[in-house]
Amino acid sequence: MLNYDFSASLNSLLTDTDFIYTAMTNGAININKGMTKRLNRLSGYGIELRPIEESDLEQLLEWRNRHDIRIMMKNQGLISFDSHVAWFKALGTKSTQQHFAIDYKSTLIGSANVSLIESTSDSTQMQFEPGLYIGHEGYKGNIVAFAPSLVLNDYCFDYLGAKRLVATVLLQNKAAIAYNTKLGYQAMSEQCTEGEKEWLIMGLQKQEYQHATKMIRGFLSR
Amino acid sequence: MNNSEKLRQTFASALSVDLDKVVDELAYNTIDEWDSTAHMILISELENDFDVMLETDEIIDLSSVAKAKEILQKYNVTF
Repeated sequence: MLNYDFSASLNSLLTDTDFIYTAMTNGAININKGMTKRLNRLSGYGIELRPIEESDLEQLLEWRNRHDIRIMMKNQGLISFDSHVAWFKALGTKSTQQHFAIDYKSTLIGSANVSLIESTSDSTQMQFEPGLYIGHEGYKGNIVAFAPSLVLNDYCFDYLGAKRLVATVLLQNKAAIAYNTKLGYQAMSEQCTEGEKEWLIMGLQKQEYQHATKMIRGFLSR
Repeated sequence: MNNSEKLRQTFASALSVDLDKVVDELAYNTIDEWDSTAHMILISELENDFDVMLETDEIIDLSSVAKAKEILQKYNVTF
């Protein structure tokens, strides 16, 4: 595997997820009905995912706007503090998204999110797209970067009832592709070009996830 | 073989790298060979070779050869 930097966005942010996904599936996406249940705090594998607080905003924005992180995101533009605050204030109204702060040993190290991207009335085809970045320099390129994905994926499969997780990854983001592959993701056929950017859609089902991460889950849950 | 040599051998074997690459400064994710999968193999081999059982925090913190020495010293392994 190539050297890579976990401070990069590992999957994506959610600002334009629906647009990208719809584009890639030629519009064949069902209407989201929202997440009918959710947990606000998740923990495991040595880390905690908790609601983002106002006191986190400055640090999260600094990381999010850092060049090495934002160039891996769908929305690569710089975000102003005012826009960031407006986004934060609107979090409670987002029925298809959840955003978390990632704490390791009570220290903020990054941010994670999950978005419902497809659902049917009988909930048999629910698909979610998780995303995260690790911004803390001390945990750049550290094995701990797997922990938030494990917590989030367990949550999606075991609590939210996801049938499949989807990751939309910049084709040149070899680190994210390698990272997702280690979680059990497999490349799906769809790719799309938005402007000059090419994206790869990867999918993950529960059985593949559990098989691929058996060892790492064991090490991170002693 | 003293513990420093043993540690270097363990790293070289787990990461499949030449012994001369194993110096205190060698860190996780700075060479292609030391990725997350190799890290898991490394932890297993360290535990076997030094007869210790590392905690999750230590597995996460073991991010360089120097750090491995520091962690193993907590288990009375001397270097």
